[in-house]
Amino acid sequence: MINIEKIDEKYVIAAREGKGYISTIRLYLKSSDLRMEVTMADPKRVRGYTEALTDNILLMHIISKARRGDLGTTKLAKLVYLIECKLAKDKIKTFNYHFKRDNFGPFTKEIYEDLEALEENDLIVPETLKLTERGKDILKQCSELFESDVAPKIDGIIERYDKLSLDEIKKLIYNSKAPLEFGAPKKIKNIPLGTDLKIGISEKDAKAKFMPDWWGETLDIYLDDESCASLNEAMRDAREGRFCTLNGAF
Amino acid sequence: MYDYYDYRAVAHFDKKMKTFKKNKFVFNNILKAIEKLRTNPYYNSEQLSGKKGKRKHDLRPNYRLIFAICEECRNLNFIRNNGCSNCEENDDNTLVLFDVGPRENFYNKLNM
Repeated sequence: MINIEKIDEKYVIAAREGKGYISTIRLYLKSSDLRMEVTMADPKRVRGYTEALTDNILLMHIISKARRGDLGTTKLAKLVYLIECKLAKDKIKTFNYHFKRDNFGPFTKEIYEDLEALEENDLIVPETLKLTERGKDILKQCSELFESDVAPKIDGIIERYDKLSLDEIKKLIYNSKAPLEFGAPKKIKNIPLGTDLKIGISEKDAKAKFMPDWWGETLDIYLDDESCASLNEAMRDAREGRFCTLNGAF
Repeated sequence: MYDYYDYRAVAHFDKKMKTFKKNKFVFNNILKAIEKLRTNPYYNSEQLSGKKGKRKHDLRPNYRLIFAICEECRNLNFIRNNGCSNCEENDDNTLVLFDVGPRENFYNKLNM
């Protein structure tokens, strides 16, 4: 049994000082010694929980809107990049992913984690990249979110680029300029591999954003299958008159 | 706004509470939260968007309690959303406790 509390003090101090926090802990055996490798995440490049939920509902929205029939994970990631990048230029905060320059253009593993979480919560079918019935229902219940001024802008980008094939989108992105953490924007193809792209927009710089703060809690209930099922059961009890008396409760 | 509110729990809430009985910390925190809400349910609680008529109250450790205030439900015409079949039996100063459980669970299944 390994006590995770025995983690090296320097990481705890770094986290306390806001220099980052522990993102992954890998335990492995080397010549029969147990070793621990800790990776620190840059706090500027870590999404908050509500930001991550926003990303997930928007991913579901793209999946529901894609009409061309060739939507795979790579094309989805490219559409996400285009939405985040183009709307950030207009100071609109939508997605909150942190992209890096990778072999096939901008890449973020956060999208893959989100797709896995969406699958685990019975919201998408990963093989076909389609929404499940629950996914469709949740998106319908969140329709109010898509009545904002930002939603048509997102839809416009999806419509415009979903028509293109993956190769066409890749080519287009390769030749587009991306802002960098340091220095002037460069064409993606000229950016060294592994470089962080600074395409997103911070909360304070945004003039508009897709998701109002007060929706965070509701999305947390909707997207998590257990919370959603639990509340639905409670509502069913209320509708069908299954109540406890004051004295009998708990 | 009343000085003190009664409460009624749906059967599901009662079932959930029974599962927390082994965890005294959580169980007692929920009971304390209910008592707080009975004196002022509007304080420290927020309306849930999209789930009209319901409010949430946060409690430690990262749990949330979902409830409705009959007075608010009637005043803001959320009766259909909450759909309590015993609506007429409850006075305005009644809290209906729907659900309680952990928050921020969306990614938890990935770590299993």
